Amino acid sequence: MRYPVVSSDGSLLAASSSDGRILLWRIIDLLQGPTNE
Amino acid sequence: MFRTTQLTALMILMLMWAACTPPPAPEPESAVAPVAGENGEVEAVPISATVSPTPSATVEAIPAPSATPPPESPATTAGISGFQLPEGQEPGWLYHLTDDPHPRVTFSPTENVLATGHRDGRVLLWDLDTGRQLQALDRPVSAPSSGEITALAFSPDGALIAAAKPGLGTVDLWQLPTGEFAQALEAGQGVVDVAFSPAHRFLAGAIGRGQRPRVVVWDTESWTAQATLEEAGPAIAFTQDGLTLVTHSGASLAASAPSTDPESAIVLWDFAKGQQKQAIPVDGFIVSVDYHAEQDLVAATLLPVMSEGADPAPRALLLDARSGATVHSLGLPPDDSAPPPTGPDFVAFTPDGSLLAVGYQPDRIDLWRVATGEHLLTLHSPAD
Repeated sequence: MRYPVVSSDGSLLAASSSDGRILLWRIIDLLQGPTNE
Repeated sequence: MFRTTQLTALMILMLMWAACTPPPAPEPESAVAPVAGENGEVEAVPISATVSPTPSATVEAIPAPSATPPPESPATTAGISGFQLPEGQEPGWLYHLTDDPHPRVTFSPTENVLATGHRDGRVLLWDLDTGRQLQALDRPVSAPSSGEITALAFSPDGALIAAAKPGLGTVDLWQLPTGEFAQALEAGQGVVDVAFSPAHRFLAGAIGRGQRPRVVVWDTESWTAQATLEEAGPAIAFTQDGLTLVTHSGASLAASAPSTDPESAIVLWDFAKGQQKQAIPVDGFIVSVDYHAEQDLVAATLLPVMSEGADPAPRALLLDARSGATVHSLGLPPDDSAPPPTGPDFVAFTPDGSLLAVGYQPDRIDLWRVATGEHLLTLHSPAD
């Protein structure tokens, strides 16, 4: 997972994975939920 | 007798016609499994979608699948403007290209669109309202080669997208929303990063792969080179006024040719004058930089220089651009149980400057609160 970028409205975080997928998270969900560590 | 023969012949002809006529096309399915792309790659969009027409006839038409989540997918909820992402911290995903690891990705500043850059030289534009692929941008058929893409940038008005192609030594430009190929700027072999200034007046291209690091800045009206900064980059970011370029000197993991500058520093360049406004020494190999205007903060990821007693783990620094003071040094969390990263990756502020996303190779992103330096969470790629 590389190249994290944030959308211009600050709502989404995106990154690309080694298998070619573009992964997307809603930042508000990340801040509200438990970590996945 | 004659009529019977005629009728028999007519029935035989009808039976033959029916046998040769293909069956009617099936109704489009609302849930589609991964679809083979034109190169045999697999594309899949685990979201519900309605078809959006490709907005331009000048670009390659790519059949975009319409799909709902496969049965094993987690429950989804409505996301932005209809785009659906899984609940909680499981990410949604847009694209799957099995032979193209880590495509570059960037968001449009004006549309709900995301762009990805690929090894085959194409830029794909994705509609985040529907999750569907909108356009595939490529060089004209007459162009000799497409070239791998290592960086992407939208212009601030969203009317251009630039792609760095180190193998060709160009920064390719397309006009949006038409998708028309505009031109290829000759940057030099090894161009690995691109950035537009906030007012869209300048475009910077950073050379670093296999070459001594330097940065070329073009005027976006004349498309002539306005400045070349030697021993600078390849990590780059503009400040808000668009007249200062945040980059670095010295060793970099992104530049495979050695710099002649023995010291590493974050450097703020007045590129029009060719003068350094600020040089902030750092002890490590710099990989990426980002700048936040309101807070006048520079974020950088680096791998510390190996020295006795020093923590060798990759880290991010938050630096006051005016004073050069280190605001926070963001190492790996002390209770971190994940496999140690092999190196630092890219860094990005949220637009309001409250959060900082720090990437690590091969598979990790950490989210930090900028004001306090608090570690919030760590993300890894989900298992398939």
